[in-house]
Amino acid sequence: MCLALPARVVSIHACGDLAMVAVGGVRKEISLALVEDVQVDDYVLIHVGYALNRISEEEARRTLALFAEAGLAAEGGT
Amino acid sequence: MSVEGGLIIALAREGGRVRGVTIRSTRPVHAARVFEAKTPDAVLQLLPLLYSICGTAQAQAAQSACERALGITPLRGVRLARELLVCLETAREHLWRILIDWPAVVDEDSQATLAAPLTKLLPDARNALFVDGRAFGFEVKLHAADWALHDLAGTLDALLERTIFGCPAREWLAITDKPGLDNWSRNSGSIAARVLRRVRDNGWEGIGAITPAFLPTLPDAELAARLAAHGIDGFISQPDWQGQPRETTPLARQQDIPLIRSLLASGGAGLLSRQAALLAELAGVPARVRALAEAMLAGGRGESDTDGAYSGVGLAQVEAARGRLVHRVELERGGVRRYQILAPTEWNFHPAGAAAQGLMRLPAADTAVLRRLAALLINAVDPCVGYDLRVD
Repeated sequence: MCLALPARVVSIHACGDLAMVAVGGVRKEISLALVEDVQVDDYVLIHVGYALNRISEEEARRTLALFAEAGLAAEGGT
Repeated sequence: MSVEGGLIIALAREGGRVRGVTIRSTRPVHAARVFEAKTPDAVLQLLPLLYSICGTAQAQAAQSACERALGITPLRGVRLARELLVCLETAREHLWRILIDWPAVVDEDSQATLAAPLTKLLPDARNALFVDGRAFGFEVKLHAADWALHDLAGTLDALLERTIFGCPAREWLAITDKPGLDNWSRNSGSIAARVLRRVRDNGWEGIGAITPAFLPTLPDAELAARLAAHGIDGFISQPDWQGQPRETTPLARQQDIPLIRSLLASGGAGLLSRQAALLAELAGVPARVRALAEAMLAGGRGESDTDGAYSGVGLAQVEAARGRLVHRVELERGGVRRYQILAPTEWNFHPAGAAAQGLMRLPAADTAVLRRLAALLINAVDPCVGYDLRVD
């Protein structure tokens, strides 16, 4: 509960506010409106269709490992 | 449903009214078990990674629960600085709701980009207040950057005036009744004002109005006893207090300010009361931030009360953006034996709770209108997860 998923930014739409991200094996479109200066290959935390903040690759890896340890498989979307 | 779970909310219509409301949660309330056998220090490092929605309130609750179990009393300045960060997080969450969810009422797109400066304010404040931006843990240190404290409330004031209120927040807080609120919504051009105007013009102000059963102040000992006795499958997934579901929302927190008291008395706990309570709580944040900053500047930062005794059990109640958040920890031989989290969504979206009761009272002559009003009301009670709304 109250969880946000780490995702890697795969591409950014020309308008700058939408991005395709990879969450586990799934790709989905999210809004970047809440976060400034996101680049392709950055990691972001996503929740209900929005990137909430940028995190490091290391934080993303540790977060996914914790999800797995908690029995939560991060292959789904929001 | 996805990894973070969600709510499945089903409305059954019959003869122009809602015959039944079913709320089913797939939220992983068991996830806190991952902290079992870890040290309190490890919990404080890992918890913000897992619970990143309202991550500051979550970290604050974990910190306080672990400190109480260990008999540690944090430095006064550290305690105030953490409280200040929780306030900023509440402001950010409320601003997100107003700028992301509310524009749909007036058939406009989200204005989320307006929230970006406030989104940045929280990490900026954390970095300005704490060495290495580390606000939680047992070895944190405050910066001596007092200038940051002076700037913070002013920055927040300016941002809220520009994006939400169209006037200083303290002026908005001088509104004490519905005519005053109507006057503001008629004369301000902000998205919040336009939404309130549309809600009034459409006759939606009282939709979903219930007689609320607000969650009272809960004595730590009684709450701890309920958690210890019931655990995961009962109290944490569908909590009640004194035999009935309770509401813990911004409306519950703001019930005693003049504007909200007046709206509750005249129209009950419906859509307008909930929207106004969110605005009122947001408007109150700059003054709280200013008071906390002044307390930090005036009172010195290094003083600490004497540490208490190790008890091995700690409970903390923190007011997070959506309501009261409770953490409880039991320690054994230096590690966590049991970790429990009770989140506001479990109270507010209890199958017979505030959201369910409000949804039962919606007009249901038309499916499309019912769906729209249901979404408005659900967003106003505000789950911290996505939801799937079904209307039969």
